[in-house]
Amino acid sequence: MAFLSTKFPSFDKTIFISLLVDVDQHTLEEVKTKLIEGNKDYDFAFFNTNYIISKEHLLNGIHRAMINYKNGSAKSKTLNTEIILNMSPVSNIMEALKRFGIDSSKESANLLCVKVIDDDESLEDINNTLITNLGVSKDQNVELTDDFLLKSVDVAKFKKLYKLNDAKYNDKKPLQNQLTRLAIGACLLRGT
Amino acid sequence: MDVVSQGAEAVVFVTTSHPYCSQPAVENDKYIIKYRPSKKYRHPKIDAQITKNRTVGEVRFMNKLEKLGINSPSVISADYVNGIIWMEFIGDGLPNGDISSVKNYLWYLEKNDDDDGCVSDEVQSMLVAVGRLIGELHANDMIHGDLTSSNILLNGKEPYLIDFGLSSISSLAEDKAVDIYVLERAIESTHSVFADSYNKWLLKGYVQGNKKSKEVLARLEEVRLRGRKRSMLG
Repeated sequence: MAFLSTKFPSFDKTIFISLLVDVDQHTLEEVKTKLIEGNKDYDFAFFNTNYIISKEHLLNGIHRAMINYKNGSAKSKTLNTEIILNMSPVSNIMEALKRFGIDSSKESANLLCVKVIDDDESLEDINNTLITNLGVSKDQNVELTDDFLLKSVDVAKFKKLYKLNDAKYNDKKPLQNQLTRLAIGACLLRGT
Repeated sequence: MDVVSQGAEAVVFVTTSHPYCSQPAVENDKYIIKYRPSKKYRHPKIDAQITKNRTVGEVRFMNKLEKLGINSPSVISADYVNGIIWMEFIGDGLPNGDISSVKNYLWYLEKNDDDDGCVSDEVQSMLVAVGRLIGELHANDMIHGDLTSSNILLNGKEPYLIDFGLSSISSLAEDKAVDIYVLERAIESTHSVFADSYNKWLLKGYVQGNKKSKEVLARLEEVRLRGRKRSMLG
């Protein structure tokens, strides 16, 4: 079983994060269809990993989405979409889904599944059901790490998306950390 | 969660719990929360707008500094509706436990060291570095708006700027000159014995940090004569 769970001090909910690597195109297309149908088994925020630089970056998006929901300032219909939108530096929801959502343009892609759940739900059950529903093998379910995310990001494209080409980088500090800080700043300022 | 400082506009807390991440990409394991409480004497709608605009403005300014690589705390999260900013904790504390701001550092030397200690080479290089930092800030047309020795923190020997509640963007020499003037006056009143040396070193650093300092320094002469306000009104 490889999934992450965490809690935010200011919320009662638990955050469930599970990573599936090299999911084939057919399955990805199917997930997309089910999502559009509004199938309850697919009630997750699904991401590709091309533009997520670190776990902190992802967690910031989730946290912000939850704050927006609490404040009534959410811009999208569901919490899952709000999470995806909050990863993006631009306010356009379609654009955010295209960049961060399921990427079925290649033969296979990584699929990151995020869900905000109530405390009494069993995380293991959720993960098992997810794997069964998607029909992926358990070996494809690996632990999410910052190293993995850094490897799956194309830094040049990432900098372009977040408009970070003109930023000054300090050679003495890890690039991933600097990009995390800058990307979070860009996400926080989206739409202000 | 402890209160670090309370101003007219905001309360600043320090906390050990991160809002969303257990292993964040910042150096300190403490975090700062800056909270702008709502003001009962303002109309609720205007109050909400002011709180939001000022919080957004501050985050925007800090993000710009981060991009430019100018020493300042990183933003961790923000809640514009409630006027909350989470940011990185800066500073390593003084031997007597006080916050390591330039003000506290210089006061600590005044109390615990002789006169030579207060104007040592170490102090000089620190203040030159502070001046350089402000020069860099102005070179990018960014105005701090509230430069004082307590709004500059020391992390080791590196100075960091904090508190951007009154910050703005401007390319005018006038605004930059007033920014320096405010710092000069603050130094004169909080560190009066050695103010002349301190201000001299700050300006020395400023010239190193801002390549286009000539116009600003010329304007500073004028500002010194007339004070911070340009017109005699108000």
